[in-house]
Amino acid sequence: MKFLGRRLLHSGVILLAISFFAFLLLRSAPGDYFDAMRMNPRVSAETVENLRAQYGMNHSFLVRYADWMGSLAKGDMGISLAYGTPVGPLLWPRARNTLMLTGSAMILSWMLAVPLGVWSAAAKGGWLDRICSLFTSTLLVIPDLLVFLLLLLMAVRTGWLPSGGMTSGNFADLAVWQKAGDLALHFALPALGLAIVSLPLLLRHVRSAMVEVLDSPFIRAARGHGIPRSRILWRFALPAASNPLISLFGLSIATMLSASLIVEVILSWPGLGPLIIQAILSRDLNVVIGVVMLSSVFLIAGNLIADVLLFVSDPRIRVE
Amino acid sequence: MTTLAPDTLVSIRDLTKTYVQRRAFSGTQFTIEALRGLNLEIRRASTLALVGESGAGKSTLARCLGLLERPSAGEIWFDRVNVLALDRRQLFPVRRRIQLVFQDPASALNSGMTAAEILEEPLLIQYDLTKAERHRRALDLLDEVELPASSAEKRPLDFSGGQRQRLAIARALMLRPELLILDEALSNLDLATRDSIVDLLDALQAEQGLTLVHVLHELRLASQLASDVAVMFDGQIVEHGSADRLFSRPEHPCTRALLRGFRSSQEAPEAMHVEALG
Repeated sequence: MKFLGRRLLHSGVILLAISFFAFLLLRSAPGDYFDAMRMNPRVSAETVENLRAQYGMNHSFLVRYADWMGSLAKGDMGISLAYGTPVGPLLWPRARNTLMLTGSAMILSWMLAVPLGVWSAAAKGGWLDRICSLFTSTLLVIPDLLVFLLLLLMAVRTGWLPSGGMTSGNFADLAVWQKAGDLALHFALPALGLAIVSLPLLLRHVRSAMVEVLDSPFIRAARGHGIPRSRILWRFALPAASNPLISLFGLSIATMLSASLIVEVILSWPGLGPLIIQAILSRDLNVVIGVVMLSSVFLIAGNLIADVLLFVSDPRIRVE
Repeated sequence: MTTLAPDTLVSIRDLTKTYVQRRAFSGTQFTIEALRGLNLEIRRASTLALVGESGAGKSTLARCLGLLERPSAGEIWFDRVNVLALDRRQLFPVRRRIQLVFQDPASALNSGMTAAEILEEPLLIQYDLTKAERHRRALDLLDEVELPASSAEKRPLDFSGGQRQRLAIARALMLRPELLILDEALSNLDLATRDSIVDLLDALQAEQGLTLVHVLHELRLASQLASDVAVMFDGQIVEHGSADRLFSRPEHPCTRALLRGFRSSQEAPEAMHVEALG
């Protein structure tokens, strides 16, 4: 509990620092949401100035930051200038959609990476290992964007999977099980895309961690006792190789989140991706900071889970 | 097979082990012959020291003998059975009769398991025993290697280096092997710990008729541990005989070189002492 308390405190400090620097950086960027209005001859300069004053944009940096922190405490995270509503309620459903997508993609990619990496390492130099190596090398040199576009092309050409959105137009009229099926079909393409782009790195890490462990004397000793190969792989080697993989799990959340922003835009997934792109283009500062903060929370939570898992799985960390 | 002396436990015939490797950049293959037609006989309930310089092929031989690596050619007869002719299923009961202890106990023990789990694991696979029976046997063996019963729930990390090596030996003894191969297992221990482990092995040998093979890189330890010594050079046994004969009348130049190293190391402290006295 002491360990968890310390890590939570640490996470809180990091989030505070991220919010401060994100605010500072975005404030330092030239222009604001009302710049486009100034170009409109039908909107007077006075109106623009009044609007700026109304939204507190004439205040100093520290006052605006303090105001934002106050609204964060209420769960609002400021007002979106583009939508005219508090940012919080705007973010939550989109954050849920992004989490559902990245969560399922992570599960899918780890479920593929672990067995494939373990088998590749066990049969080092064999045909499965060579196929995996070729597959990962190929995928690593293909940009994520191209993978998503190819999947989109495949969906459009074949019609097997919906090419965008989270639900069909008639979703409200469907029965419960039909709704689940419709949601799963819409999930398939973006989740598969995310899993494909994150798989090579995970697979290579699982393989190299396993190769190192499989060469350890304690594995040789286990073989000497006649312990079956499958038990050696899953009961002995994988737990021993899990430390770098658990750390990688925390880090892979960052990769997955950044990739999800692209896939959401390309496949029209109603997550944080399209929202932040629009917010950046229109300089909707509070929305951008809100998305940055939420992404940071996801990333820190992922790393916190990884730290706790490491603490539970590795006696050496507990001793330290 | 040709006739063996009645007390022969292991007979190794023309054993060859070749490793194929690739060059880093060109990718071209090249071979390393670690064992080159090696022949060796090990007597039942004896203690053999396998001595040689680094790269002589000692550890490769230990791994082949411990059934952890498959030789490229040759025969290993264990208790009058050519184990290299057996398939995986036939080999399963043989494995429990041959055990290996590694040099570094920290890496040879699974750090994620408790001492009891480490000891019980081989029993779980090799025998049909209840959990309580396995645990009782683990506690008995801990006692046998002079580790307290309270250490059963400790993990390898919680033990000292000497205690870890005792635990590694206990694990090897768990299946009551007939042949125990110690691959430099005593090299990194302090004198007191080493002596107590040697005493323990001697007692087990007297009690159970255990055959011991110590893999060593220097003759100093061989003189203390073994009744028989086999000297390895370039993947072959170049001299094999009783420790007394080998120390008094070495025949092969390699043995003589090792012996010179051994004697100078014995003389060195005296020389230093004389030098210090001025």
